[in-house]
Amino acid sequence: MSQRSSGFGWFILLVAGLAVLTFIFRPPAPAETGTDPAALAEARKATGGAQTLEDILARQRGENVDLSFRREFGQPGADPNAPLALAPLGGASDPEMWRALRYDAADLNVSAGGDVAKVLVQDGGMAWYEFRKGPLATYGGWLLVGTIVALAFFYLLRGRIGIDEPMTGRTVTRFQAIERFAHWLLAGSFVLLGLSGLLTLFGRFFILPTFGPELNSQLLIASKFVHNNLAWPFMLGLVMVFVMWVWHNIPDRTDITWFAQAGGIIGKNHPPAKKFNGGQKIIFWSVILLGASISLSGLSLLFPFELPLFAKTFAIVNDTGILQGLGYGALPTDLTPQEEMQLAQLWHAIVAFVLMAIIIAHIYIGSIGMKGAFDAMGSGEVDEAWAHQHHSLWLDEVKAREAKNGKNTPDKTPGTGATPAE
Amino acid sequence: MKAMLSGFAAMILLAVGAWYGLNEMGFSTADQQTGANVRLD
Repeated sequence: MSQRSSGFGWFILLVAGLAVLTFIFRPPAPAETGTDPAALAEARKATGGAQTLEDILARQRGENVDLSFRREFGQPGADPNAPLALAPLGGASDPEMWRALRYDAADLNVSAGGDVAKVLVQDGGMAWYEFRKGPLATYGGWLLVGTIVALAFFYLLRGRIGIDEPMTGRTVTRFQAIERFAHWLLAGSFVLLGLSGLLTLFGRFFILPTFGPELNSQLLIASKFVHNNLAWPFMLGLVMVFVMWVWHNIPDRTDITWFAQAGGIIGKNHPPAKKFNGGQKIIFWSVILLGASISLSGLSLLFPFELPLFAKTFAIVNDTGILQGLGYGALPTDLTPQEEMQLAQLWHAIVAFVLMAIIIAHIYIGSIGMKGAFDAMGSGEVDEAWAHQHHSLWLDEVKAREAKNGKNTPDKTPGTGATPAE
Repeated sequence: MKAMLSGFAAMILLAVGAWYGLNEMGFSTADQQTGANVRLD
């Protein structure tokens, strides 16, 4: 039994520590210095409910002003005797029409374009743009940088995880060709999708000011082509990997041992594992669940306005009452087609950032982080010493199966033929 | 390494196939989001 841990537990601890530090040293929330809403409402009595200069100035100061009164002002049921009401034209005045257009409440008919064309003023675009260039780019970018820095620190602290026992020279087939094919189909497309997505988000901030608009434009055109079309091999690879590996990734009692020892951090023994250990199962389910979510929102973006996802999802979330129970308001369920697209884009990017961070860690441990790990997905053959150290239960299963099939464990060097192991 | 290279090759083939096929089927942005009277070509 190996005396050294895989180091995965240390890595989880390091990431958790960084997350705690990030939370402790998070930027302070902006002070609540908004004008009293009651005072604003009181001032509106002088205008019959219309907005006042104070409302406009408060918005210009960036305060969060409740604008619901603007929808209500001038309604047919409003008090006609209110001071300074709309007087001669009543509720059918021009402001009434413009307000209806402004708040997407007008009864419009369009000759082409459907519901999308009926939205004449869609101010959600500004909120989307602000969020995309603000919190999304900032926190998403730092998440990736932080992950890489954490891995670099981890490598300096822990070094490359070696193989404690001497190499046997005998190999077992860890992954069959079709498994490796699906893995690399998924991996290759995900890496290119990630890079093209990052160019699309960050090109304006970093490439354009440094290298000029021509290069940025060409990169964006190429990124769009790559991103749109590599979505299909990514989804195919995701389905293949799910079908082939889901059985091996169902949580079982060996995971309890694995997590109890934090992948080897607690105690001296390396925790036994089947084909996939607890950490790998986390990677698997992250890829499947986050990848499926990215695929869904990506399809919604690939076929604009055809697959709206959020209004119905928000309605389901509202029905659970969880958000309301936590003191948050209900989520909006009356979304314009454009808002559906904006939310799909933001969700797509947020989930992709999380998955990219996870995959960066996966790439690390599968390459420079652990000796012998790449062979599993490269040639498919791993040394028995490596298999015994990291997946002892799986190695036992393989050997039992070989014995049952009447085969002796062959002395076999990588690439000299496969032993049906899985 | 053959499986890895095969995966990458399949990735490229699928991407080019999707691009060509979807365009042929009329799923390009131009076909989907504009009408003939607003195109320059």
